Amino acid sequence: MQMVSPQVSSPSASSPVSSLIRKHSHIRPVIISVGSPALAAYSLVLTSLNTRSVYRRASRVSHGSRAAVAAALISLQQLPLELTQDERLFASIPISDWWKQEIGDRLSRRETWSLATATSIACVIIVSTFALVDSLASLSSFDSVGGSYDGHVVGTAWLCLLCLVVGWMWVPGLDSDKLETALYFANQQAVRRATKEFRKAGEAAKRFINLPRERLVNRSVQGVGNRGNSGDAGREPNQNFDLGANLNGREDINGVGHVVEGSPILQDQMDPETDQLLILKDLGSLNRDERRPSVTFNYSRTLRYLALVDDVFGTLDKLTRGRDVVGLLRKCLMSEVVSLVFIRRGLPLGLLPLCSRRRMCSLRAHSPQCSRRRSWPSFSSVGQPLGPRSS
Amino acid sequence: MALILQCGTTIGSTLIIVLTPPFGLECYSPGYVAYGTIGIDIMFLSIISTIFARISETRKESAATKGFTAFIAIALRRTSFLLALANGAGLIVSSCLQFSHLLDSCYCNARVLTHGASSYIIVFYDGPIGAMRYLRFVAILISGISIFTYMVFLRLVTMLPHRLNET
Repeated sequence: MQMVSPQVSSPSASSPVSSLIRKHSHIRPVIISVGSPALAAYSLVLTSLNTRSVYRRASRVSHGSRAAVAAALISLQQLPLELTQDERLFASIPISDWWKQEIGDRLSRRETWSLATATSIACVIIVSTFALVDSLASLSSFDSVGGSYDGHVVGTAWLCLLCLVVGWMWVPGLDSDKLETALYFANQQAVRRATKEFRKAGEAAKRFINLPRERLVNRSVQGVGNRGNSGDAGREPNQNFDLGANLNGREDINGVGHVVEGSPILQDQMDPETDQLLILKDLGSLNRDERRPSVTFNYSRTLRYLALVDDVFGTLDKLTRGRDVVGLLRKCLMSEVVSLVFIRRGLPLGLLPLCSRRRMCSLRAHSPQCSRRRSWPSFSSVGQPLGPRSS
Repeated sequence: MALILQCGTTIGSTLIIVLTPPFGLECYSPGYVAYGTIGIDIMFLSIISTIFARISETRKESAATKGFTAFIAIALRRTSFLLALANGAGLIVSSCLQFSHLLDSCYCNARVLTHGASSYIIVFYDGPIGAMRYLRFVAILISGISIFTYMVFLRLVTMLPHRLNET
């Protein structure tokens, strides 16, 4: 396995991220905010409403790391990101440390002053000075209309910019270099931690579940066709696909055994440069505004951003509910090892109500005790594997 | 999607208030009306461009229609940027002119186009001075209120507490 330590390597000019972010576009936000304060104000409000919707979406997920995920996602609003479709990398989504350290800490200090802010505040100061001078001058002079109105007119017109400046203070943007670094290291760490999670899950499975060999082979063969769309089309279909199929929202715990036995995932090296959990989307001229990391252009990223938020939390939800091999193993083996051992030993099942019924059943299905009582009420509703059961 | 729509309408209505030109009866008012409307137009054009870009990205149809939506999206984006450029330049030029009192001589020439001979009445008639002062005060008040509304809205949206108990 290829370990990339974040301290040694740094996002160079050749990193795939840095060429996509249009970092040096500072003048466009200024033009947009002067030319159309409505658009800039719309972006501002949209940014903060997106923040709220992230929290609302997070509150529907019952996973321990949801706060960290939400905080990290909120600071990633300035990039056009998309969740990968490579299911191997989903294992790093529930890790709250990953979100917290790689994204949250790196983006903790926010940039409150940008060129757009400075320009706007300079404009407002200049205009208000002129307006003041103008009105004072016209007060002293004899004017039939009673004072000049020019200062008032222009002053009110430019007052929108003052609004925007204050709004930018409330909804601060992030430095583009910082965003790039955070994304780069986050993707590298995602690969690393996903591999670690798989290894952990594999070892745990090896320890606690001993399955007949022939069932494993059947399962893994039938799983190959299920993974329809891979993340990048250019990669050759290799033997990791059966694991991906098993991770594909299917409660197919037998696949884990295959991972342990054949363990293609443990030998496979996910390349941190190409396998990214959060893909920075590049569509050329079509989304050039999206790749400008300024708060003013947040309006163009909204649809993609909300899709990303929904994807991330949906995946997290799926992992939480134990519909996934890795999530299932993590939850079950951490908290219910003891009761599992009790069941295996044939102790009375009176301990069962202490544990979650759903998770318990998915584990019990493979224990000798459970094969007698297949008609456990909630088992059939949890998620039958689509293929014919080979038992 | 419903959330986005709701947000969009709310914000749009708020911003229309914000951008209401403060004076409706002055020489420069067409300029400011144009500034406000073009600003809002730019906003809608950009939003439509975003939606078209998203459609073109996600739809799975023939390359011709895909290229068409992409073309619309790009064209709208460029148009809105050029409009913003022109709009901002116009605002700057207009305020420079106004501060330098360059056009004060044509005090009501612009009104002749719309009001004809009646446009001269106000110049020589010193009756509604108090009314004009009152009007100006009201206009500034309206603009201030709209800005205040927007700020309060933004502040509330930004600062309302999010209850997300960490476990």
